[in-house]
Parts: sequence; structure tokens; C-alpha cells
Amino acid sequence: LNSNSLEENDSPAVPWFAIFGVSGAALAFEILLLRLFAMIQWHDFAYLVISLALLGHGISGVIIVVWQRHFMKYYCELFILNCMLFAVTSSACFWLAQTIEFNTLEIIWQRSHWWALAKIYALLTVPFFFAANAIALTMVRFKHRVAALYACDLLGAGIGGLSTVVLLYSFSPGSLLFSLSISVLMVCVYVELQFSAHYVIVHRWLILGLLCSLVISLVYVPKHVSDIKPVSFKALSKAILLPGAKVENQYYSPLGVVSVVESPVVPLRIVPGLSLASTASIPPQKAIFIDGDGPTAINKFIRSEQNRNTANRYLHDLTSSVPYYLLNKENRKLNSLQVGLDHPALLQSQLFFEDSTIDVVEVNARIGELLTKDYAEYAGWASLNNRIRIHSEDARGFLSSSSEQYDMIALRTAGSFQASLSALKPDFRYTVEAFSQYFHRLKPQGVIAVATPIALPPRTSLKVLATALQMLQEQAVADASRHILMIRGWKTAALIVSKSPITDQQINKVKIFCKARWFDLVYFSGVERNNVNHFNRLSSPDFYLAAISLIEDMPHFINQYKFMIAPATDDQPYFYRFFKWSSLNEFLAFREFGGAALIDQGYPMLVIALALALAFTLILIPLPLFSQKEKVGEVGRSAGKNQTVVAQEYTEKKITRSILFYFFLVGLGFMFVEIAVIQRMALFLDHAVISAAVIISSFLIFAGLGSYHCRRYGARPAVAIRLSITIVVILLSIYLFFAGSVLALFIDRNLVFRVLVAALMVAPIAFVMGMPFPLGLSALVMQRGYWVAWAWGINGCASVVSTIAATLLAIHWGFTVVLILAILIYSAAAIMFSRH
Amino acid sequence: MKRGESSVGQGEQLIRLLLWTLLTLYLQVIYSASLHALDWPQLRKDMVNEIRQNAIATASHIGKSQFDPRILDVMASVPRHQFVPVLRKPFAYYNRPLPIGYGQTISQPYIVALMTDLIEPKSSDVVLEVGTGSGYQAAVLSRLVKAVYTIEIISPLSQQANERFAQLGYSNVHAKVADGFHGWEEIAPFDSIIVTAAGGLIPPPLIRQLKPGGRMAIPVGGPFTVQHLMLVEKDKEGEIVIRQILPVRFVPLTGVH
Repeated sequence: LNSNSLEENDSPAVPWFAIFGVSGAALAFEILLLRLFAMIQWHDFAYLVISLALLGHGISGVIIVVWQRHFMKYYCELFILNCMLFAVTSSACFWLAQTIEFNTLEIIWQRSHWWALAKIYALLTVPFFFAANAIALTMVRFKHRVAALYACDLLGAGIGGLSTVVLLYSFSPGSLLFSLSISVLMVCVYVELQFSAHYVIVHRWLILGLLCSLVISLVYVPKHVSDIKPVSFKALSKAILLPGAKVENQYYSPLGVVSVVESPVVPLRIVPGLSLASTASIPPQKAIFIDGDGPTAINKFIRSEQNRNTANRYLHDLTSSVPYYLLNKENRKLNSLQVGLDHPALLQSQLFFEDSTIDVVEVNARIGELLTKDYAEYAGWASLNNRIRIHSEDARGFLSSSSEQYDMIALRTAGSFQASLSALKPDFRYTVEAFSQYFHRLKPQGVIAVATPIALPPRTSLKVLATALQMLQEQAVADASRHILMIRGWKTAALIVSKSPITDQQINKVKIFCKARWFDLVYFSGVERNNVNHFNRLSSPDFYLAAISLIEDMPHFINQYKFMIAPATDDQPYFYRFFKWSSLNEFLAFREFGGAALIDQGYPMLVIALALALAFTLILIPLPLFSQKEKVGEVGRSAGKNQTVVAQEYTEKKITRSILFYFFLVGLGFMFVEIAVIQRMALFLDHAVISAAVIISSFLIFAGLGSYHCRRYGARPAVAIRLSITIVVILLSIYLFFAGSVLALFIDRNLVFRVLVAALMVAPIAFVMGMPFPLGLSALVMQRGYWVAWAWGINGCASVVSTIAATLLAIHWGFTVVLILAILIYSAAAIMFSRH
Repeated sequence: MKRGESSVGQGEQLIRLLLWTLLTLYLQVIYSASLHALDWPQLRKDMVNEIRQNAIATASHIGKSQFDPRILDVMASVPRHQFVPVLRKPFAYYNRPLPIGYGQTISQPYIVALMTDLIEPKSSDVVLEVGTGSGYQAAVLSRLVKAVYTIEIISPLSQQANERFAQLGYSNVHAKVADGFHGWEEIAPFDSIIVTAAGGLIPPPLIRQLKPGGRMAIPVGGPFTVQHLMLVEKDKEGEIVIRQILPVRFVPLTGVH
């Protein structure tokens, strides 16, 4: 049966609505999985699982190209079947994945966890496979409308993704996953009505199957799917094991699920950095967890002032109290900025200064609302609100929009355990540029205070120190070492970066503070070896030696050190990446006596994921060639393999290679640009999640419009391809040079305005980037219609490889390099197309 | 539905249930048989030999090239496999931590040896352990000291450990379910304290409950990775010295000095 004749005669209507719906649901499913696995496991794991699961697109393309002649006979049945299976497996496979016993933390110890990981990957690939099948089958079936179909696919994905992010503000990811399955089943009902006259097999069975799926989903799935089971090693899972402890409230947001835990029997004691010498009691607290990680605390407000002062006495005994001993207390006034809401820290500043005003920047509005609304009475917000202003935005954006000068800017890095699972998470708060911004907003006697949990051997605290030193160097501050002071306790360190040189009097105050609390001095101008390593003794004073080395010769020391402690920058904002390949063998050799703690899993896992994606790609992409080779071989044999056939084979090979590379390069280039822009915009749009939502949706919607627009060039795709890629290259070059300046112009505007600016900046690039793929497909339809599904598969595999590779390249060389590579890749695609 | 059909359905269900039960029993028997086939004493001996090698490899950091031989002898006799969940038994003598449920782990044997060695146990000592977990650390200590007092906040864990102590004859281990923050005031002071569940805070009452000349050991790090060990020493005058010990033979600094 000729597929062209099928399209023209006796053809069902193009299922535009279903393609739109399934594409939207597939992206929604991807976003939901990211959220769900961040809650169940950790961020880096979620990222890796999703990146590989998308290989389902590649597998789909390959299978369809091999058996497309058979599939086309039953297009209507197969389309609806794939949609149904996508609906059912999206919930079912997630549920099954949850039943697999897997622990990220144990992966280094037990090989069976690798097997469990492979099973999770395989399960999550299934729904993407079915969704991709539905789309690819339609593209093959209606290949003369491929550009419009691709446009519909992109638009659906864009709108589906955006809607999901908005819905995540109100609903749990688990319940949304269930709703997604039901929605896709509803789409199936619509498609069934549209296709019912075109079935080759009796359609009532499909109707029956559809209804059964609906019923089963409705009756059985909700209680399992909505039930999220975080691993037992998450901080929240452990906290609720305390007698009587319970999650009192849970708030949903795409930035993370916020859980508030109350423990009425065993008091919560969330006091990072408390001195071992402290005898002070700790007031009642409630714990706040984000995606099950944390906790941070909300302290109970004690009404009586005398009792309150007693209850808060412990706040004197934290390493994070050290800046208060440095600041000038004569005028009794303090104007500070706190990056990230930390209720005890707010109380701390009030304890030391009678008159303190604090700006708190907390990007997750839900956390701010805990203090100002939900737990306002518990936390005594009424007594705080005249002095504290909470801003729901990123610190960098806030500083750009305000002209305030501060006595202190305080921030805190993640704990060492959490940090080891966040190596792939960009964070713009701890970059050299961020520190410069903080430094400029200090009053003449002001300080930046950074609290860091201690990792041994030292890592996080040294990276913060290196960042501060780099910043001081870039600001041309004379004798930078006089502006730095660092102390450490048994589990936390505190770094002070002062606008003015730290005086001897201030150093003496800190010495007294440290001695009374068994804290150690790490560095101050003029420090000697006998000043350090007294209370929390290490076999050698590593912190002191490293600080001295960083000050004396930073590049050499960073290069030689066994962890990556080079300062993060806005172009490479991976602050929590400490992994170095050169140290891996040594760490693994000591795995059984402490070495395991030295390996951050995120980064090596990313490399493993890339290797797997490449391996799958190399296996999957050539598969259709074997079936094609058989056909060519048959022709050759029947023609006696004369010279003409040999020449045909040669040309065929060259064209096949060009198809392969063209679609691979276009897929690679698209994702390189998208990932680089998402990461760059994360600073402009306050948060990586907001950036991902806005940029991905903008890219998909505008690329969809571009794809729809290029239908009119269907007759002359070659010219249009060259032109569109040339424009892509020009626009990317403009973006590369001028985007930073444009973003700087608007960074002080409100978020809605910035979202519009970001979308408008993305629009022209995305519009033309949406063209090369459908134009390539149009060209393919003219000459080799049977390769359409293969091109789809190649593009899918390229998207997986490029998502991981772009992150890896950004970690090593920055986003600028990723964008430059994208320009080169697009240029190579144009050359590849022109050659044949 | 007719009565006949209903009884047929019930019959099928019963047969299915029976088959599942038989299959489960069969698998249990196979698994138990495979466990019985394991030579536990030999596995213990191998484990102790590995710890001995680890001690030599980490000598420069732990300050000695071998652990107290008494500790290793005890570890060669305590049936670690009785302290881990059934499915983890085959791995019980691997030098690695194992999950025991409730977000807790049984420490890897090398860390148990190191922690025990750090507190320098004597036969007359009374030791407090905060965080009973599986009970393995307490069992090792019980053969080295006069009495072990162990506290666990998670009731089911404490109950399981208690049953093990009774079953295996560790009669000088006294366990209770309580908040370890407050220590065990009625029995204090202690010659040594081991805190296996420190979290972000080392409870000040524990330092007070340590005898002059006493030692307290605390592992710091994630559930499967001990980053470093803290040794709190209280001298005869009651002054405190804290040492932070890396369990690994690792020299992080290769810089300019």
C-alpha cells in the first residue's frame, strides 16, 4: 500500500488537536517528573533521569522508519493506541519507578543500584516513546504537512509546559500527573470520534480499551500516583520519624514543595554553627523543608522581653555571629541585607542592634509568606514587620533595582551533604560578579558575611574565600588580605569581607569571641600559625595553610588542589561543583575508608549519562540503515550490480550521511542555544526554574510559529534552509555580544516586565531556529519520504545528547563557549545541507 | 452473580493465595539455605583482616598503624549479620555501610573499629551511646567495657536492637527509647560517649556527662559517607580538646608551602 496514495485518498483528517495535546502533555510530563524526582531523590538525579528518558523519542523514530509501511496501514488505530498508552504509562511507569528500591547515596557502594537505575531509566523512557510515536506516525502519514505538524508539536509543547509551571503553584505534582493521564485519555476520546470511520480493525475494541483505561485510571490510580514516597534518607523523611512529629502544612510551587514540620515531643534544634561551649537553651522551633531537604527554622516568638532575650541567648554562640562583633555598635543602628530567609538570623541582628532594619530577599514567595501570613503569630511577625522588608526576588535583581547601602550583607551556602548533590545546579549568588555587586553596596565600614558548613578536607569555605579574593583583586582593592577574616567552628565556618581594612581592634574582638566559644581563627591579616588550630584541631592546620596559599598564589594553588575551588562566575555559575577528574582515582582507592565522602556524585553521573546517551545514539541511529541496505542490496543483485548501481549506492551513502549529520546538527544546535539561554536568563529572571519555564516555552512557541511560517517555502526548501541558518548565525552572534548589555538595562524592572523582555529577546532567534528542521523534512519528503521518521529519531537523540553535553560544556568552559559552539554547529549544518 | 460463580471465584482466589504462599516459602527456604551456606566466621575473619589493612593504609591520619587488637578480636566474634536486615545479610561483612531502615545505616566496619579505638575502651568503663541504630556498635562495645547504655529515638529500631541484645546475650547493654540530647542523667558521668546520630548539633549535656579524662567520638557526614570523626577529650581538669580526624589517607594540600 503506497503511503502517498493513502494520504491523498481515503484520508482521515489531520489530528491537529491531538498532536497539540500530546506534545503539550509530553513536556508537562517531563516537568512533572523533574519536580517529582527532586522531591523523591535529589535535584541532580532528577535532571539526569529526565535527560536520558527522552531517548524514547530516538527509539520511536528508529522503530517507525523500519516498519513504517506496516504501520501506515493501521495509522488510525496505532495513533490512538499510542496516545492511550502514553496516557496510561505516564502515571503507571512513574508509580512502578517508585516501587524500585533505589538510593542515589548507595550507588557508590552497591552495583545492584546501577541495575535499579537502569530499570528506572527504561521505565521512564516508555511514556516518551509512545508520545513520540504518536507524533512521528502522524508526520509520516501526513508528510506533506510536516512543517505545520512540527509547528503544532512545538506550540503544544510550549503551551503545555507553561501551563504546567503555572499549575504547579496550586497543585501537587502527583495530582497533576494523574490529571495529565486523564487529560490525554480525553484527547483519545476526541480522536476516536474523529478517526472512527477510518479504522482498518474493528474500532469498538478501541473504544472499549479506551473506556477500560479510563475506568481503571479513575478507580485505581489516584491513591498510588498521588502518593509520593521520598527516599528514607531525605531530611524530611527522617524528621517525621521523631515521636509525634508531623508535616503540619505543605505548600506547592514550581520552585519546590515547602513543608512545615512540627515536633511536639522532641524539640527541634536547628542551630547550624552552635558552639560546643554553649550552654544556652534553644527556643521552640518549627522546621521548614524544601523538596524534603533542609531544614531551616522558624523560632517561636516569646512575648516577655526578658524571657525572649534568654531564649535567644544561643544566637550569641554561633559562628555566624562574628560580623556583629566587627560592626560599629556606637550608633546602635544596623541596615542589613539577608540573602535567603533565615528567621533565626533576623532575630540575631535584632539581638545585637536595638535599631535594625533588614531587607530579606527570598526568591520563593511561599517561604516569605510563612513568616508574614501562615506562621505570623507563631513567629511574632507583628513585632518584626516594622523593621523587616521581605522581597520575593533574587538578590542580584533586587540590588540592581535598589540604591540602598548596607552595613552588612549576609548569605549562607548549602550544607556539605546537600552541596554534594547540587553540582549541576547553577547558583548566581556565589559568583565573583555577585560578590562585586555586594561589595559595591556596602557602607564604608560594611561587611559581607558568608556562613558555610564545613566539609573536610576543606572545599566550600575555600571556594568562598577564593571568590572573595578574586573579587577584591578585580576591584583593585589594595592589600586584599586586610579585608578578609575567617573563623571556623566544628561544623561551620564564617568568612568576613570588609569594605574597609579590618583593624587590630576588630581582630582582637574576634579573638575574644572565638576563644570564649571554642571557635578557631583561620585567617586575618597578620595571622601566624600559632594563632590557629587550637580548639577543633586537625592533624595539620589545613584551613589556615590553604587560606595563606590562596592569598599568596591563587592560580597555582587552585590548579594543584584536589578539589575544584576556582571561583564560580556568571558564565560558569556552578558553585557546588568540587569534582576534579585528576583526583578521582585517589578518591576511589580510598573509597572504603572515607574516600567515598570526597566524590560529588552529580558531575561524574552527568558524564556517565552523556556516555550512555552517546552509546544509545550510536546504536539507534544507524539501525534503519541496515534495513535500507538490504533493499539496495536486492536492487544491486537483480541488476547484476553494474556501474550505474554502484554509482547509485555511492551517492545514496553520501546522501544518507548528509541526512544523518544535518538533522543531528540541527537538533544539537537547537538545544545548545536553548540550554545556554536558559542558564544566562536564570539571573535575569531570578530563578533557574522561572527561566526554564519562560525560555523553554518562548523557544517552543516562537519556533512553532517559525515552523508554521516556513510552510510557504516548502517548494524551495534548500534556499530557505540556507537563509534561515544564516539568519540564526547572525542573530546568535548579535545575542552573544549584546544580550548582556540589553539585560543589564532592564534588570531593575519588575518580574513581569523582565519575562516580557526575555520572551521578546528569544522570539526572533527561536522563530528562525524553528525553520531548519521542518524545512529539512520538507526537502526529505520530496526525495526520500521514508526517512522522515528517521530524521525525527535523529533529532530526538541529538536533543538528549546536546542537553547533557551543553551542561557539561558550560561547567567547564561557560555559556559563552556553548553559544559559540551552537553558531559553529548551525554553520556546519548549512554546509552539510549545501554539499548534497 | 450466581452463587456457583461466586464460589468458583473464591476457590480460584484461594488457590492463587496458596500458590503465592508456597512460592514465597520456597524462595525463603532457598534464600535461607544460601545464607546457611555462607561461612560467617570466615567472612568475619576476612573483614577484620581488611580493617587491619585499612588501619595500616591510614596510619598517618589516625595517628597509629594498628587498632587495639582487643577491638579487632571482638569484631571477629560479634555476628554482624545478625544486625542487618535479612536481605542485606550476604553483604554484612563487606567493608561498607548498609541501610537498616528508617533512614539509618549500620556503620561500615572500618569506621566502627576506628570509633571504638578512638574512645580507648577499658574493661571497667561505662559507656554511653547516642543512636542505637542496629545495635552493632553497642554489641562491639559490650565485649570491651563493663556496661553500655544506649539511647535511640526511633522506637522500632530500639525495640529490634533490644531483641538482638537479649537473643545474642549482650546482657551488659542497657537500651532505652529517648531523646539522646539529654544523655542518660541517672547513670552519668560516663567514661566514654559515642554519638552516632549527631545531626547538626553536639548536645552540650553530653559534654557535661563525660568524666574528666573521658572521650567522646562523633562521626560527621552523610548517611553513607563519614566525612570526618570528632574526638572530644575532657582532661583531668575538665578542659575540653576537640580533634577532627579524617578517616582517609588523603593529603588535600599540594600548594605553595
